[in-house]
Amino acid sequence: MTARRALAAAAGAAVLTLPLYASPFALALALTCLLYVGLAVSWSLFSGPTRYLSLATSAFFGLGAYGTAVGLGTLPWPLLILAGALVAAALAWLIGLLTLRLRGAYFAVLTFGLSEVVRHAVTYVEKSVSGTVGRVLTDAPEVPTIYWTVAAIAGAALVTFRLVQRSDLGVALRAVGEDEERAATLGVDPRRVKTVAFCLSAAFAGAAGAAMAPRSTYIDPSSVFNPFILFQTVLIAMVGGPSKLHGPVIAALGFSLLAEALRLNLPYLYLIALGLLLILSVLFLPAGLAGVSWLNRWFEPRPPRMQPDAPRR
Amino acid sequence: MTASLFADLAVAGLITGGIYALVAIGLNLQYGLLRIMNIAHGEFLMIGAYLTYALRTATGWSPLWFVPVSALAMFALGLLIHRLIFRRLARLSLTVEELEERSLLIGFGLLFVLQNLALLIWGADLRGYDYLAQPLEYGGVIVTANRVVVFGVVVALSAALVLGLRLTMIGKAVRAMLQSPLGARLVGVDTRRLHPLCFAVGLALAGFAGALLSMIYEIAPNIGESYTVTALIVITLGGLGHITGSLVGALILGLVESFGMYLTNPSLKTLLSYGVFVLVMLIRPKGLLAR
Amino acid sequence: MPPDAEPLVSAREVGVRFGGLRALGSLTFTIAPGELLGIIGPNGAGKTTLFHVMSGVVAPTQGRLRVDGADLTGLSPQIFCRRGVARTFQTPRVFRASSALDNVAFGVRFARRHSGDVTGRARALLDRVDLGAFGETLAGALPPARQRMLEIAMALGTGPRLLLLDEVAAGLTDAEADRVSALVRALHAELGIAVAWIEHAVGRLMRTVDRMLVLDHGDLIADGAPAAVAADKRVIDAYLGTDQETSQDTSQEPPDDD
Repeated sequence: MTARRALAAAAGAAVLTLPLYASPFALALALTCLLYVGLAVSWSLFSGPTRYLSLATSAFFGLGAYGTAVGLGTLPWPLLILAGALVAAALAWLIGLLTLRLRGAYFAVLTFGLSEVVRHAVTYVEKSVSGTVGRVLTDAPEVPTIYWTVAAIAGAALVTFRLVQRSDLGVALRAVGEDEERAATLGVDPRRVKTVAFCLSAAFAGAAGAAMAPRSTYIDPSSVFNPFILFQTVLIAMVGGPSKLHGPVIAALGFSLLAEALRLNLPYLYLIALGLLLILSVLFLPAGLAGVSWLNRWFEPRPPRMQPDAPRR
Repeated sequence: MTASLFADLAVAGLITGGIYALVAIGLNLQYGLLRIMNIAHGEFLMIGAYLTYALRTATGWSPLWFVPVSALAMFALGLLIHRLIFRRLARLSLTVEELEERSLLIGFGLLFVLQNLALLIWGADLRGYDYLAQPLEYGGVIVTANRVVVFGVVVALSAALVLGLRLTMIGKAVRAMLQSPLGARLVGVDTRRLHPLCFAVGLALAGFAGALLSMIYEIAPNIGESYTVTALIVITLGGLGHITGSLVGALILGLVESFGMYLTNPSLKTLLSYGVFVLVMLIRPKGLLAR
Repeated sequence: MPPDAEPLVSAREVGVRFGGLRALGSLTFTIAPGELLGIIGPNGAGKTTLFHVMSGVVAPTQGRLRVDGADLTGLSPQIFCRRGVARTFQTPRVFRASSALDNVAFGVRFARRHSGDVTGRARALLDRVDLGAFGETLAGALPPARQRMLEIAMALGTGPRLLLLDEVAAGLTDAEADRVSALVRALHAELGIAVAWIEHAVGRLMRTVDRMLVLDHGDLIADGAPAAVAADKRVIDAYLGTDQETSQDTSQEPPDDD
């Protein structure tokens, strides 16, 4: 326990002080890591326990990014991040209103369809109202500011994940994932807990999008609503195992390193490798890294109440 | 709207609808029958299109020769993929829901693999070739010859499919499985042999459609996704596992798109089709034409 | 029941159709607070469907259903739970990957009718159904008969005023079934709650309950004291018309519509 605490503290300190001494390349790499830690962990917050496969991450991220692109220069930085979170949560509430009564592949496909609708709607509005599709970002904050913001978002996502996991909300979400109707007969309002978790999860993706937007000086819908963001998030969460915390963190680190190593030189091969990895992980590692027992013993000495990833019905 | 413009739009809509039908019937075989939500279905169409393009440009022969080649290649690829991935997945999944969700993730993986494979080999540029591009005129309606050929082939194949399902033993087995998987097994349908076959036929139809598509449109590695969405719309419209419904739904959608694009703004096209999709899913998730 | 007492449940012309299939015809009945009621009927008579309707799992396609003075027709299961209806399922639906104790604590926590020590309350309920020794066992690892007892404890955890028991004594030996009957009667007396109990063992049920409802093909064909119901011609016809199981205490039916 103490060894793990000390290690976590050291890791935290290293992450936070990185901008003071790291090279720009290392900092960019760490930023990518943190971004995907935040996205994968917040995705898992909802989709892990409920087993509702949400494919709307790109929409939340993209909307947050567009918020920053519109508000940069007028609103202070923290308010932009907050706005990104709120706008994404509002969108999640709307999407949830339409989709959360469906289950299985229908829910997944519909969240994907709706996020494509959002992307095309933004494109259309930009074209007809602003007259241009993309936006140039001026007055962007320095890289360390972005870095610390994303680190804070990732940290908040980790803490929230843990808090939810141990709260009544977490218990209710896992019950919904196992047998929604049964949970309802015992007093849980499935719709409410699903909506709360879905919005919470979206808020982090929106905040991340808002924080990451100034990384490029020019954004357009196809870059910030990129399905690749969703794909990588889901991949990391699935490979990591969406029901535990350490799985997605380890996977996010691994993938970000892999991405930096391969993406610039061999972009297509990199994406092919990711696709194959996703297939292999679904086939051979259905519970993800979180299902690997020695990792679990190290990260979670006590079994949590109502283990979410034990054998399914 | 003049009569000849109306006819133009109708013909264009029917051609598009015919291609949609092939793609949608293929996806319906996979989802309606095997519960495999193959989100990469359109990518097989794209691969089929590139295959035809590559063979045509390499040999200079008529692309019609390569339509069956492309279909057969996708058929073989389908058998392989089913063997390597989906057979195992079906065994692993304890509930239908689980199978659907995991197959969706696998589909995402396949989508990335195939799309980037195409990018690696052919690059991101639009590719195309000329084949029978000369216009034909009949009663004031002007269509290029290749479209007429494509339409003819699509109609022939669709008719063969519908008749085949009605008349042949395999067709009857498939329809039995569509109605009741358990009942079909009880009356002696060998699902272990039929499952890979259906999956592969589904991909073969996509390959077939892709080959036809390459004769009339320019192709790019990212064309697949929109066909997957279209196919999802169509099978939702026509009803899961409802083959004739898919055919009718596809033709309707083709016409709606053709007239809709003319009457409204073309840049709204994708938004419209996703909008239709979302609406259908919300209002009648089991299909508009479903019984 | 006294004529002036407000009924706990009042169903008026409640019916359910699944597509073209008529699962429940048009049922009108009431359940008084604190009543001990048996529900019988041949296979496919609609007993479990009736429980589905009374717990909000299935919305009736006709009629009105009032619980505790409020019209709950078509509302969700959690509303029924909040209004004091709790149930078990014919095929137990426990949270298999959680401990038995957590399963019971679940209802205590989310029905929000118990303020105070959730775990202590859950433990007491587990003891009450003789599962005290299995608190840490994963619910999915319990044999089906124990899962049924666990479901009773889970239902009690929500602090119900009406407990719906769906074949909790199915597949038990006579001695075990006797113990379940004694438990149900004791719970009914101690807690003062109404209990509606579906069981296939008609004889045992008649000896336990104060009043019987008899369903046949989705219709309510008899409603009254056990002795009167047993003598009712329509009831005899319904049972003889199908077959056996008039009073075999250990008879079982395959799940009808659960």
